[in-house]
Amino acid sequence: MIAFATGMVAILSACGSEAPLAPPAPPAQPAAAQATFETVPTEAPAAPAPASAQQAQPAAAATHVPTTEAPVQQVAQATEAPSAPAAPPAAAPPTDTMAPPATTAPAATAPAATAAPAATAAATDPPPPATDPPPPMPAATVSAPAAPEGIEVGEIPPAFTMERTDGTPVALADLTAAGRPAFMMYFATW
Amino acid sequence: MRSLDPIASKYPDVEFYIVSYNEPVETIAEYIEEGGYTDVIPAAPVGTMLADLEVTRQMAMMVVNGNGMIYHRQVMGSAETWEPYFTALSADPVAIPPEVEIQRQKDQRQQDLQLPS
Repeated sequence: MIAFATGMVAILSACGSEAPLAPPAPPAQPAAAQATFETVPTEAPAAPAPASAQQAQPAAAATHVPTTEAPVQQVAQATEAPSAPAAPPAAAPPTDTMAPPATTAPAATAPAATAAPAATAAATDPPPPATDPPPPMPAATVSAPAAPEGIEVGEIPPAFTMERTDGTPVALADLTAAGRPAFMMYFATW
Repeated sequence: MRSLDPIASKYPDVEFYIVSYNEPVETIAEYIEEGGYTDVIPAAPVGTMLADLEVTRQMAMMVVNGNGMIYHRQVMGSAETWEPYFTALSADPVAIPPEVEIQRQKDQRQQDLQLPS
């Protein structure tokens, strides 16, 4: 028994000294893709970018956009989220929403000949930073509602209830049912 | 309270409630009992009563007639100046304030709301 315990301690200590505490290193492909994405938008022209980006992006990401725009979308996604090496197809729609709509919309409606320069320009332009202020909201949602008119003399107030110290509730309806006027002072002893 | 209680005793047809503004009603009740005020009734607001009535500070008062209509309301003031309202409502529990008085009190209330608390 002692020998068994001693053996276990030895095995555990050996494993503890060799096993890394940090999680295993990421696969080589994400690292390579990240390195490619870091250099493509700023230094390389738009043409080589699709080749490297196409390796990392699933084919489904380009199925909903024109062929000439696919590199732009992929480069934009790679620049904005370089830590996601192999984005699943479900992550593709947010990429479209994050891309500048002014760049994407004209290219989608323009002929292919004019869409290519637009795509090149978009590929070389840095993506909008995440700290951009949001577009101004419509005035109707920004403006505060008008101040209430207030409950004035001569008006019927909304129904209310107060409670006596013995727990008896006294509602406005009770007062009006009895036809008794009431005086209320909102008081504090301090 | 010292001046209000004797006035309350003169108008038994009007119910006088002292509503706690932001402290337990027991504190108000103790204060009333210690002062020997027998004609006012301590009460606690239930739910959003103060907000619904737009009571924004203590020492605000409100008088409603027998139909529930606000007959008078103001912030601060002395009980002696309120006695004409109790007299009118004792004579006619469902009396409504004259139009001139309504406008005057509206102007006064707007002025009260603009004053710093």
